[in-house]
Amino acid sequence: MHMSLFTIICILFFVFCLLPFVTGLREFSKKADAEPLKINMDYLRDPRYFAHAFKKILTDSFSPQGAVKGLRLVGLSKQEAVQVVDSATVSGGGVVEDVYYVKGNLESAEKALFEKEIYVGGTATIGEENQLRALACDGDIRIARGTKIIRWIDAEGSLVVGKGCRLGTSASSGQGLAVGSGCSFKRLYGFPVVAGAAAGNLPPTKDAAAVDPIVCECIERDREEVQPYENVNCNIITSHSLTIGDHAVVRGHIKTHGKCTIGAGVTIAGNVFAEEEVQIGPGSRILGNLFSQGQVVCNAEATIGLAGKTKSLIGKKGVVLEEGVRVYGQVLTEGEGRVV
Amino acid sequence: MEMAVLIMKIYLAITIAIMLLYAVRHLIFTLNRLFGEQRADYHDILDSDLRTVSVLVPMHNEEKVAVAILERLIRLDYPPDKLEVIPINDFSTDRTPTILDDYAARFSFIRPLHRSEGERGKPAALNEAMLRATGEIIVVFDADYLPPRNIIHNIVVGFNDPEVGAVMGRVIPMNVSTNMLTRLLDLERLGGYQVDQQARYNLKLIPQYGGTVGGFRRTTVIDLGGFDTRVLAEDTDLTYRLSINGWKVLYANRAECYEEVPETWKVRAQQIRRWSRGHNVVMFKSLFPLLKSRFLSGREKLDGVLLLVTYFIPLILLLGLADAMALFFLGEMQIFAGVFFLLFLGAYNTFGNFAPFYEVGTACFLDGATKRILLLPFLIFVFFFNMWHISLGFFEAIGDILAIRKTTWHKTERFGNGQQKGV
Repeated sequence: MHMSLFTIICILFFVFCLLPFVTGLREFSKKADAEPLKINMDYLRDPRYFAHAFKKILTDSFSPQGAVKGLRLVGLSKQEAVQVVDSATVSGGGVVEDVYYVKGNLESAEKALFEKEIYVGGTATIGEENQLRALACDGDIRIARGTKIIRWIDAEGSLVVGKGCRLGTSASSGQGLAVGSGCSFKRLYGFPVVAGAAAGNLPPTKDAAAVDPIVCECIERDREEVQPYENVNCNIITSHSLTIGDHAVVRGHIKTHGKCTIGAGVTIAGNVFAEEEVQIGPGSRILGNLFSQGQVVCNAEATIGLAGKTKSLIGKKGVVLEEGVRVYGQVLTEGEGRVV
Repeated sequence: MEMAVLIMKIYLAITIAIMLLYAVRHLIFTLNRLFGEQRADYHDILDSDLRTVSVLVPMHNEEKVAVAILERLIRLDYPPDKLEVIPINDFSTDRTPTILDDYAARFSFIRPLHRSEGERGKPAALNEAMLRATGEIIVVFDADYLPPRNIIHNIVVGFNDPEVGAVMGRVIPMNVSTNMLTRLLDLERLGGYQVDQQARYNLKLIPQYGGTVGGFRRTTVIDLGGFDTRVLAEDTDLTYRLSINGWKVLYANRAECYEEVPETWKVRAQQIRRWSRGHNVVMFKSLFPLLKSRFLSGREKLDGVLLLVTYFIPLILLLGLADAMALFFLGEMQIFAGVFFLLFLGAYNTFGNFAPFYEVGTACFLDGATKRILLLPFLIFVFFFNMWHISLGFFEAIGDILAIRKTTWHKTERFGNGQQKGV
């Protein structure tokens, strides 16, 4: 009796010892999750990926005969009806339910609703308070005030956005991108991106900076202030906050573990990295990239980057651009981007 | 006898305290990855001003894998005038030199360095290649790695930050399905990178430069004296020398690259013993300079110490286990009652500091590899295996330091299975 109880206890002991391994052994034999984690070995970064991918799907679907007028079925994320037209004018309050393929120009009046993606071969003129899901255009795009983009918008030419628009996850352009005041965004990409420009006009490209964008290699540590009109020929790395006085020139990169407050008319030849908020004073220039783990506020007429180059302004928690701010390349935030 | 028992009890209590310290540390990392604020990565930066880069690939008898990595390197998306690839033939006796010369004849940016004199081993090879290299940034890959096309961008963009001295990418095993060992090593890697390294970046601690899938500023490392050829863990050594001297190591989770993990327990034992030996030499060398560094915050120093003694802890645990068993058979284990018993149980349930279970499980969850979580219980075998071989490596490190002897580099045996499959 005692012997059999002991045997049972031993068996139970071993069963409970082995129990955690049973499901693992099953997985090991079945190999349900035994493939390496996926790395896209040929992935290349494309700042205008959405539009390029969308246009490629359409082009591939329509080849070899090309886009013929009428209704076609195309495999996007699912099978979608594509309406192919030569050119289009959508009246006020009109609704377009299908994917729209416009070979020529597209024009819409106020409060039109485009429920699916749009491709435009010519120019696109979008009226006030429209709602678009996504728009890829081979020419220029003009958007009137109060329009809402759900996903993305891209122009091969220039993109001019009126006041009070919501620009979805990405607004990009192969040329200039002007964003009116009151607009919100996550990502802007253009050459340059100009904040607060009057709709319908892109201001001309400014001259290159007066300061040579070559930076020095030496390092000054834990500096908390650069005096007005001071010239600093070093990188500045500080574990504190940094304040740069008006009209100072820094021929180096900057890294702060606190806030970075840049006065008016300052020129920084290198990159600026900050762990907290960055404020750039009116008319200041950063020739390199600006990256903050906090919010970035660019006062009027501040400039990031140089004509002919691509640079980035990234503020993780938010980006605020005042009138006349220009960025040569990309503006990006995980928070809210606003033009004021 | 009573004094001996008292000492054993105190030792056991210290062991449990250390275990709990690591358990809490890894729990903080895990919670940070699940619920904490994630710092933005630098890979989103678009910058047309690209730095010149020299890619170094140390190779000793790598004929099984050389072609695979060279084929990947010729497809890198980086301007050819800003890139050079220097595969280092380090005293190879197989077909490696021929393979390198063949690629050099076809691609002008591949410039092999053939070494047959002087010191052998990865640190010595890197030192010589660094002097020949022209790139502002050095990127290193081991020969069994398969770099994707955009990886140079993802690594090099981190150097826009003037405080960054080295950048470490993420290692992903490609021969996962080969056997139980490769599957368990895959779990270790997941936890180590997706949670541990990323959390250390988020929390502004000290991510580790791992010696491959990473880069550093060439002139900075040369100014620091290059790689110490007496140290087998040249990556850990560089991490600490940079940190102590005011540079940061950046972890780039998106700079992913395939690697081949050991497929036999014997090869794994050699590898981890070498890591332990090298890491422990660095521990003796860097502990006090780390604590004295004026560039590091208090919490960076604390985390730096915990990382530095990582390969010493298994020996403490091994002795702690023996101690616990001795106390048990001496009838002295009743000291742990109530809350102390729970602490004891909790400490031992973390099974060492090799990315505890919750960290690995969280990494699987974050990577969407949820079914491999079922293999977690098998990590207990790896834990005991590691504990033994790391302890042996520690004693070898003691021997290195006491005898002031030169170490001999034994490279990890390659299998070439993942490369042949063309992952």
